[in-house]
Amino acid sequence: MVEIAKTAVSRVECLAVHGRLPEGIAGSSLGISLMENHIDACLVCKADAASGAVVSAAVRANVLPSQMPKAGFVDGVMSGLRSPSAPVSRHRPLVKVSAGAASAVAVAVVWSLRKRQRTLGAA
Amino acid sequence: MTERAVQVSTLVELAQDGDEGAFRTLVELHQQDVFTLALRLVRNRELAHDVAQETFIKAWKALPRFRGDAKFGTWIHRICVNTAWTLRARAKRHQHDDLEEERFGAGPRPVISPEQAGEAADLRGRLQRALDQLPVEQRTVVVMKDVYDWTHEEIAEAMDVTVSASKVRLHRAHRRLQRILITRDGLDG
Repeated sequence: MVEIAKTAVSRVECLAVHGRLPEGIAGSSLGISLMENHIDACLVCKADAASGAVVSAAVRANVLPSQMPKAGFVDGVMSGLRSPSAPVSRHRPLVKVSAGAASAVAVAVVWSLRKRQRTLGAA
Repeated sequence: MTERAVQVSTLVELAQDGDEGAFRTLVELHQQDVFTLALRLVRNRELAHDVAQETFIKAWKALPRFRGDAKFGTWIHRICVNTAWTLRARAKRHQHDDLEEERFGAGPRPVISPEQAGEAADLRGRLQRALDQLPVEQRTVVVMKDVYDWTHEEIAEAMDVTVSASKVRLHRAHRRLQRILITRDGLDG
């Protein structure tokens, strides 16, 4: 495993993939597609992918064994079915909108009062 | 169809008609699978518990739309991956459990020499720590591809990303695992 991984790591860095994509493209769907095409075509990256198979095998062989959840799990699920299905998400935007509207109204009122004071002062 | 498959299929039909008792039996039958998948994805028991519960609650709500063209087990796995992915922000906040000690404590083991056993345990430990270090989006792809043999199309659908993104994440995750494993060996660090 270690020997194969050592060989693999020398091939891991492929400049064509990791150095030449402009910053704006690197994370975009175009960048991902370019990178995928590159991985399919480049011999270095193909070898890298083959060594990835070794990692896959290691992951599969050392996977966490099956485990039971803690006692009361099923009861927790069943009581969750009966709880109301969170109308919070419906109300939150309303709260935000009304808070936003209230502050906008307050700003407008203060602004108009100041303007009126200035007008009266000038008169 | 196996006896269990028939049983599950009957239970699903009953649950689709609103039979909570039937759904409870489905939860009992699948709780171990779903919790284990959640734990493999989020690597924290408390969060895995929440993800698994949320998965079943979502499944109950979506059950009327389940057409039976996939197995119930596969369908609920898909919901679990999607739920773990949706809760990824919480996964980032949770510390990973030290799952290593008890993880391999039970169950039959192959007959190997003490030296081989030591190496195997060391590799397991390093691999688990390496998985802990992967970003959740990369770990999800690794677990679903390498452990559950999902296709990139299935992963992409569950995570709501493109097939290309899934492939690239797997590639990056494997490279990162290789690096971490080798660094832990002191070969390049």
